[in-house]
Amino acid sequence: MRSLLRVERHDLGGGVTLYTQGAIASSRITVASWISPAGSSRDPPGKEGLAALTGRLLVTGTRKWDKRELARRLDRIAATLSVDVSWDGVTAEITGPTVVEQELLDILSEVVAHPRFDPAEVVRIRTAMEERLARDASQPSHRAERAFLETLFPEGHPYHRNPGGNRRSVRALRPRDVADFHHRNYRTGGSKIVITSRSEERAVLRAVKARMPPLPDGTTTRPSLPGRTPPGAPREIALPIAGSQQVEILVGGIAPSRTHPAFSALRMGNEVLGGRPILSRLFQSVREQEGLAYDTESDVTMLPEGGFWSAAAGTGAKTVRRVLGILQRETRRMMTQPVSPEELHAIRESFIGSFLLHTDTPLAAHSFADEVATYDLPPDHFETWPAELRRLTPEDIRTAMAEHLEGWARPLVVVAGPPEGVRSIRGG
Amino acid sequence: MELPRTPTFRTFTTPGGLEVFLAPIPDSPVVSSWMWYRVGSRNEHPGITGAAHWLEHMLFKGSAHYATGEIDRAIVGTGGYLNAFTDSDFTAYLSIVPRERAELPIAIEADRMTGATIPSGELDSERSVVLSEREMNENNPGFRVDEELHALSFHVHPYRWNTLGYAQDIRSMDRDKLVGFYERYYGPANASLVVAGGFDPATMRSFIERKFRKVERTVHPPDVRAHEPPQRSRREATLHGPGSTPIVKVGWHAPEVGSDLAPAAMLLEMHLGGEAPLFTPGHAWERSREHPSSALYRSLVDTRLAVSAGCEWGTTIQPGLFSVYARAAPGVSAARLEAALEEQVRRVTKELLSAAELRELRQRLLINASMLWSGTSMIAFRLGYLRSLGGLALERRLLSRALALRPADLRKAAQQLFDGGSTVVRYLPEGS
Repeated sequence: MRSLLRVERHDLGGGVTLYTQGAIASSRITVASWISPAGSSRDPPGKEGLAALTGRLLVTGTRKWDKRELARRLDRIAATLSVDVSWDGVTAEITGPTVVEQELLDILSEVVAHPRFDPAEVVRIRTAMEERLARDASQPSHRAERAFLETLFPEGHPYHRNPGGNRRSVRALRPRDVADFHHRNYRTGGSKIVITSRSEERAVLRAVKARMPPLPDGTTTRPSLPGRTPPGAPREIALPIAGSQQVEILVGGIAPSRTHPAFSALRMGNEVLGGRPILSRLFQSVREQEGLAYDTESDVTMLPEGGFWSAAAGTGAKTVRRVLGILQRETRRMMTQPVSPEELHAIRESFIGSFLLHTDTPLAAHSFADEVATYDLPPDHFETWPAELRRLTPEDIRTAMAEHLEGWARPLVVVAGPPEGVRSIRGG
Repeated sequence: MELPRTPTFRTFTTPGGLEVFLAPIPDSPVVSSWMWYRVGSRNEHPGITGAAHWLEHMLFKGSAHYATGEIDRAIVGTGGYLNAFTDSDFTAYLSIVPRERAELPIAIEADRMTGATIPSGELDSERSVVLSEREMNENNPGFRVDEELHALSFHVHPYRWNTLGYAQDIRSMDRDKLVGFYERYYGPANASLVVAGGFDPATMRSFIERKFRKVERTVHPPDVRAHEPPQRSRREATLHGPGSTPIVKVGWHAPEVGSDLAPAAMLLEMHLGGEAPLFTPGHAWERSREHPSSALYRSLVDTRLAVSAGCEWGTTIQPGLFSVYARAAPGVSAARLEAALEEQVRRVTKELLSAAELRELRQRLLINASMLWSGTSMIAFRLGYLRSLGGLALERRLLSRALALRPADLRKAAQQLFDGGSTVVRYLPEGS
């Protein structure tokens, strides 16, 4: 069996890269994904949501197969086809039995290269997206996240926008827009194919070469980024939502992009603050010691065009100020005091040890290879990264967080939920 | 096509009555251990609703040899994962650890099976955590609809409340109630331990026997004798809250997973909603998808009445619910959605599925089943889940019977299934 942690990389020409990885023990399943930079950062101004609409339409029929026939083909081989559109890319992923691996690749290639874009389906999916946007507007967690990102990133920045667009922009999208977007942005250049399978490496390579999505050459254009958010943006935002039960609290600021040299230190620091399940400081203080929330965590999200950090919790209306105080206190502590060597050791070894959990299910294993492909990491990244993490000292981590996580001394605070719960926050 | 083969496993019973299933997977670098107790929210009664779930939380708060927090630290410290979940019929505790630490979760499970300390000092903070979990769910309209549907459909049976329990019962829960529940239901004879992954079965067996040798507690869990009387009339409720478009869910009393009607209920679930979760590998990987070939999707989503539609048969030990649901497209009323849902149900009671439709359902069922045993935790989960629902033979019995059903059998089963009164819950966005 091929090594699971080591991903093999092959240049297929035309800017396409193939990443392969062995399957986990006992797996009879192949997972294949096609990744392209055609995410919502490529949405033209005024057409926000176009990348998402295009992505969702990939699974609603192709030139050869209408929606019903495509569904039937998938059902017949128990395959699952899904498309995920984020700010920075689109991923079409198919999962099914390894015994029909070639058919899986045929379907993936066909949906990516020759989507049907049936006008009736465009209208239907567009309507569903509008409904989703309206639904999200009533959900405290979504409202808080939207306000948070819209405040952190200036208008025109990809991360300011909701990848799903807004109700006005989505309503205005037309079938022609979708076809144009696909033609302009679904290109060979920068696209990646990732396969986790128990098949022999050579067989996978042969099968993929014979079934490359026949897309036009060239690459999609990177978005231009606006300057920084002008000073004077609010630092506390309160979003009352009548009828909701729990208050969502989000505290945070700007972080560097994924290629920043402090990535590992920031990632490790986040594990200590609120990233590592159960062991993290937020989990221990907010949930275990104080019993103030079921769910609390922190995140340092480092993406190709920038990043952001956050500490979050969902709590009752009467405990908002207390939870907010803990989130802010623990964040400050990370920046001002080095973590003890014992705490760092425990959390670091837990984090490194958790890589092994990716050998538990076929999709968890595939997410390894996906990460290597998405961020152009070395093929042996998950074998060499532990040594880099172990070299980090407590002071490396403190310095990285204090220097590169902006606004920690006075972070942006967003709370959303029942009116009586958000009243204690000044903004609006 | 052949019926799927269960992976190789060994089974034995400890002197205390604990059933053990060992599924060695030599190449697996991890070991996945699951302790299943045959107790859930159906074993509660008004006044202690939520006890099974709360007790599950308290079993992480310490036991004879593990102080508060040590269980978490021990497992997560290895890079491992631990969690637990409570269902209406069972409670399961799972740990995934590197194979070198395979014995750690076994030692923990043996310790907390009868030695949980349930410290009173932790009760109040955990009370607010459980209430917070409930509030978090209440932010989701789907949770509220489901809770109301069960509350209306069941007047007698404990399936009428969900595993979180009523907020007022959570507020009034005390240590005595939790300890009483623990002592009544937690013992080796009311549990099954499943271990899958990279370990030597002989060594593992000997370790389990050693660890559970002194774990003794005679439990006589009382049968749940409540039987829901037939529903003769229609019941309905309308909820209001934040949201975008109406949600409608309609439910009928349904057969238990071990009943003769179960294979037909499963095929009807596939026909109407597109999948039978008991035989859908993706279900366990947390990937949901639309089912454009399903009857509800074609009649509600394709026609733009709904943005999503589906079907759910609760695979419960005692008779539960079969439900159909949809979320309206903008501008579509709850009444129109309800009529469209009921029309699809009516059709399966009146019309025969074509031979081709039934053939496709059978083929999907088989190929889905062939992938079910993929991945270490999937194997451990499935062994324990099937055992908790009644036994490992359930899988083959359901499959073989479902494959033998003819169109007329399915229609007859639908007529039986949808014969009683239905319950409908509508969720209307505020202001509708």
